[in-house]
Amino acid sequence: MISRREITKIGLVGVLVLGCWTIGINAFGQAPKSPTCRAFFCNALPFPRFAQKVTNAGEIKSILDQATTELSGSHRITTQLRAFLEQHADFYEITMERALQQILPGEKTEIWGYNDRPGVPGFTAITPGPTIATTRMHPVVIRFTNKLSTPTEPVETTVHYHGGHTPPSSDGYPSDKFPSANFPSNSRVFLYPMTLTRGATQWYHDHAVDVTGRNVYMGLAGFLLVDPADNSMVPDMMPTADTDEREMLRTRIPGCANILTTGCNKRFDIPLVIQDRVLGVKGGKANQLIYNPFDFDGVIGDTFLVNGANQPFMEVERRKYLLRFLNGSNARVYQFGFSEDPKRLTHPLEIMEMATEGGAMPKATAQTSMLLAMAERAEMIFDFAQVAVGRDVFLVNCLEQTEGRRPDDFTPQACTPLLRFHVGPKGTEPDPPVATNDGDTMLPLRNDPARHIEEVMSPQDAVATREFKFERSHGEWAVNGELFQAHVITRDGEDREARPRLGTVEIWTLTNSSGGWVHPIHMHADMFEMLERNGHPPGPEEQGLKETVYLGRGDSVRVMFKFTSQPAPWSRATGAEDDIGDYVFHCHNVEHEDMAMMGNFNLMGP
Amino acid sequence: MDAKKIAQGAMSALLFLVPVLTQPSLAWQEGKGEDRLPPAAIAPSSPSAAKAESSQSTRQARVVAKGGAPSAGSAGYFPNVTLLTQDNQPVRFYDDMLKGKVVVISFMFTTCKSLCPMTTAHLASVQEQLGERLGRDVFIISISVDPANDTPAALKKFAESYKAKPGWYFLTGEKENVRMVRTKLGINGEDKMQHTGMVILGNEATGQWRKMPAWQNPIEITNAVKTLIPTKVPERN
Repeated sequence: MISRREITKIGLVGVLVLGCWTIGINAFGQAPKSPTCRAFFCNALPFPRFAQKVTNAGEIKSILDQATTELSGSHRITTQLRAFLEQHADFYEITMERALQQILPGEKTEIWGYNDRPGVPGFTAITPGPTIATTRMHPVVIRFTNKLSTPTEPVETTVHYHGGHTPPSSDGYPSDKFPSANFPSNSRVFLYPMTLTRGATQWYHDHAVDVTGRNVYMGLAGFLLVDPADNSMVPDMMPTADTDEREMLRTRIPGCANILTTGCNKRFDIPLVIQDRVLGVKGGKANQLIYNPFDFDGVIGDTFLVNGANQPFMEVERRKYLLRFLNGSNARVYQFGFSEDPKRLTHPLEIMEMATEGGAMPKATAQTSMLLAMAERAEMIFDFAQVAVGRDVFLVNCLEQTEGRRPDDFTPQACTPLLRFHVGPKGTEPDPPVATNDGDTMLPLRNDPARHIEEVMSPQDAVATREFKFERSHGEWAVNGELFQAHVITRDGEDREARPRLGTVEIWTLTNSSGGWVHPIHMHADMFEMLERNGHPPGPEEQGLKETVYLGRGDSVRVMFKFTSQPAPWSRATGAEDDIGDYVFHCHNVEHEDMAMMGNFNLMGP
Repeated sequence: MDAKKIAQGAMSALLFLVPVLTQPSLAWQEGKGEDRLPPAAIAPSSPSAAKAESSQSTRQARVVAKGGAPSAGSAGYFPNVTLLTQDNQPVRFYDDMLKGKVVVISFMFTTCKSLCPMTTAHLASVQEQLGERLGRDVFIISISVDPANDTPAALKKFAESYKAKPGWYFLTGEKENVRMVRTKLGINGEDKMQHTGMVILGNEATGQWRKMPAWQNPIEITNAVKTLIPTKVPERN
């Protein structure tokens, strides 16, 4: 009798072999056919298209009219703000739709995706969703419309811009689902001031209470890439710090991480979202996404997707690339490495990590492997000149995981290849002029309050310390013994409600006291700096600004925030109020999140 | 090459490859389990490797739905085994309890003194909030995770102590039957204390399933289950 493991092997390799024949029908319409294609890893790595902005004046008016009736509190649409947005914001019209995507050979897979060009022939919803690209301080207004419901299956959604400091009414608060009793319309307008402090690899994804796990699993996630500010959109709003950041990126980063500016070659700037899924028979059709609603540990898949394609490949030049990683899985932790051997990381190639969730790190750090928990991001400079022309380099994962509780041990001698790079000759485009080495200063934390950048804080300035325990009891997950309830503020270790004040520094201790489970904890509203992991200073890979932190078994971390109300780009023009209100922090094992492992904090005025 | 030919070619290629691919030397996932080197053989050199080491684990394989097995939550997924109600009535778990229904499923045992009283009390509140809809639009199913001790008579007494009304079933039965049912609902392992914290809400007809902590405010549970009830006019809270 064939064991389950052998069946998996047959299935996996069979799929990879057959993958060759399907080149040209991937979901993104790209059809590169490689002469070097071998009998595995033959689907070209897809890149989600860049979302198209709305330029039609009537449509912009319609979006702003809806925003005026919906948005409240600190970002209600006043006459002045409306005028500002009309002049300076990017507008998008994005629908959530069901669509078919070719993931495995044969039957197409029904996915739930985002579509930036609804109703335009030839454009369907895709997963990962269309990439939204913008610059810091450049406001973005998006109308999301949920067209996922069917007569037999109503689907509630909301959207969270993960990594952004957004007004509470645009943060995708979990109970603000639409359509629902509170929000009967199937569309909502979200306003993003883009006040993060440096350019960063961020993302947007579903965040509807109780059903986030299923919604994200079905495909509701996409990249949101942010560059440092420039002067092209909002004159006189480009801080000197952004000039420095742009110069650093220009001189050190392949593709110069500069999405909107011409003269940079995006061929060398590669976003990669890694996800795992189970594909099986559903409704009589093969290759369908199988979401197990009865998996309380967190849903783990056995089919690996990179940018929505099953173990694809990419032709690269023998030069430096910027690779932007996002762990978009529901419950799987990865430890990535690069190797010429698809199954082992015993001779790892060097990774130069240069950014975390919050953007460029203070110092670059050379690594041989990189742990990435759910929702964490890392950017790295990878030099394919480490191998000869004609060779293959594999992105491998050496952290086996068979259930949602936790990964197994790091095993560099037993890895799974996720993505194959085939190294071709170097083209004419030169590598960045400045080589980045281990420990090189990238971008120190900085303070430029007059110019809307505030990153430097000190533990001595902390006005409050709070402790939050992520626990498990009787099969339930809780934060300090409490389950998520909409707008009920979580109590800290000293039984005080978590009500930090704007402009103040707080230190939070986040502890995993749940026994055998692991939990990546994601903070909404602001980035933090890590002070300690298990009593020791954090490793170089955790230096810098983050908003998601991995809590392994028994781990305890201390993180420091400065709750900011980064003045929105329109603040001078409109005198808008501060961002005050309720935000959540939660486990980003999204099944745990759906089971209420989520706290509330209330950001109060100064 | 048309799609049919591709499919035929794919099938024959797969059939041809099966004997070849079971050779370990060709399988990419070879070496994931038994043939590992001792961890000390290759010291993790990066700080992030050290970070992962805090996640020691035991190896517990979990069967992942794959291939031809009915997908979780769809018809054919749930075992149709016979269980007994608190009235000692034999019922088929799928045909009689789930099929076409909106249900709230919880797990309990009558001698549980810690959490179970509160979770059952929460369900009693849900019962009150559902009013006439219980037994008509929604059914509550409390499954004993201690079938060896929980006889129908014991369940009957337990149900009466919570003033359970028609439409709220307490189920027990052969140990293996109960185990099959709870395993399919995601309640694994043998520690029955760990089984009592979850309620499962579902609409079998539409395949919508949710899970919630039983500690959750009963109003939240009731509101969530109401969203699963098919209605012509949307529910207003």
